[in-house]
Amino acid sequence: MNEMITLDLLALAIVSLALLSLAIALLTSRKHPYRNLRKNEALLDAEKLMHEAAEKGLRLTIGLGVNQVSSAPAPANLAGLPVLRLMSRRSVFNDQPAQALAGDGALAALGQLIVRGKYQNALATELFKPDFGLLAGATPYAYLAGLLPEVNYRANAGVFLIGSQRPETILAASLAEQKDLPLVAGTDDLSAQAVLLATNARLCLGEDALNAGAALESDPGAAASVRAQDWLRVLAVLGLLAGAVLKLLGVWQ
Amino acid sequence: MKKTIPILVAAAAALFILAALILGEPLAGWLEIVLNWAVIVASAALLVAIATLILTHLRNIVRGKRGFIFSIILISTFLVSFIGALVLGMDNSAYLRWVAAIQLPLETSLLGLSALVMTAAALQIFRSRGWSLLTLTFGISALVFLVISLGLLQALNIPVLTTFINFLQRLPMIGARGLLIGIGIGALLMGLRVVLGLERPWGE
Repeated sequence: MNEMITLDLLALAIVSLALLSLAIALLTSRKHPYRNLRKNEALLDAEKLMHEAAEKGLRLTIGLGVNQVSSAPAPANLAGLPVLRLMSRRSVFNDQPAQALAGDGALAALGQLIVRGKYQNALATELFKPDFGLLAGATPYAYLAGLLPEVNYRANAGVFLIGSQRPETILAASLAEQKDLPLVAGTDDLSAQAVLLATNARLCLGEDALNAGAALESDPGAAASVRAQDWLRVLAVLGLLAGAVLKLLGVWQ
Repeated sequence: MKKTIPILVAAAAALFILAALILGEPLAGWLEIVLNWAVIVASAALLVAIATLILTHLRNIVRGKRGFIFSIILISTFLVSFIGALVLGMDNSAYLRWVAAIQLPLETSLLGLSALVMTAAALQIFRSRGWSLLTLTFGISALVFLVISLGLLQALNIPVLTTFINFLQRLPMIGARGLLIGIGIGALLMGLRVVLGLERPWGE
């Protein structure tokens, strides 16, 4: 029971510390949110890819991932939404608008809300079609089965696989590679990261996938989050080192 | 107002769940109710997404769009499984056996295909990413762990070798923990951004 309370208090302390770091990062970088921010190599060329797709009259396809845990989208499921937001904004008047595919009902609904919103903002609701944001499948394999034909679509200019992806996504990555399509991938799943490393995907490693809004310079909140993450990571390293030293000295059993 | 209400609802729900997880017992009953609401809302979203999918494929069939045969297969299998579940019930053993008989072989074959593609990709990593410290480490560690997993070295029963193998086997765990800590911090901050209304997944 005591151990439970200690763990709860520890969790509360970590959440409070994260909140404090985020608040400080937001306040200190509110004028220039993206200045001196570490670059996300995988997403550096994303915007260029979007322009190229528009010029060539081709489309971009994004796989937003599957829901692996519960009935509501996990944080990693939301990772692809900033990319979709930018992609949709850029492709409202394109010959081939961006195509989003989700492996979860709530995520598909969110994707469609975003795409519809972009058409509303551009005063072009008559151009919006519900199939710009679709449910690819409600289970991981159904999602993969729905994703593969869209990656194989003849008018694709590039593929983004950002969100909670599973190792089997390598089938989609391999297909994109065969079709010589640029592929940008990011996932919170370690096995999926490992298998995607073996492809020619531009890969967001670790938590970089969760901060696409900062890399694309479209979300000041995400930029502040990257700074806060860096500080918290330093604290975690110091904590781990202190723990190891204390254990070596026999102070902490 | 239209933009404020979703932020308030998301923030209130997130704060409540956070409080319930930390405080435990006093809010446990309420937590169950709120989680049930979340399940209902997510199910409604799934229904909306399925309806959109079906309408899109119906349009493909009506317009005779390229590959419309797959749309016919999708809609007919959806209708058969949907009506089957409505008539027989989700727990009906015959219905479950029927669904499993189709789903399992398909999923297994996709898994088998993934395994083959993964092996091929691992072999081609030097061609796709070139020779670098990263690819060399990847290739060498894959080989080392394949050899260790065979169990032949452990069978030699040499104490020093066994200790060294045990040390090697801990290395991936350490690397994974490092990545998981980073992902955990990233996920925590993304959750906080949703609570604070900085991240609006539903916003355009």
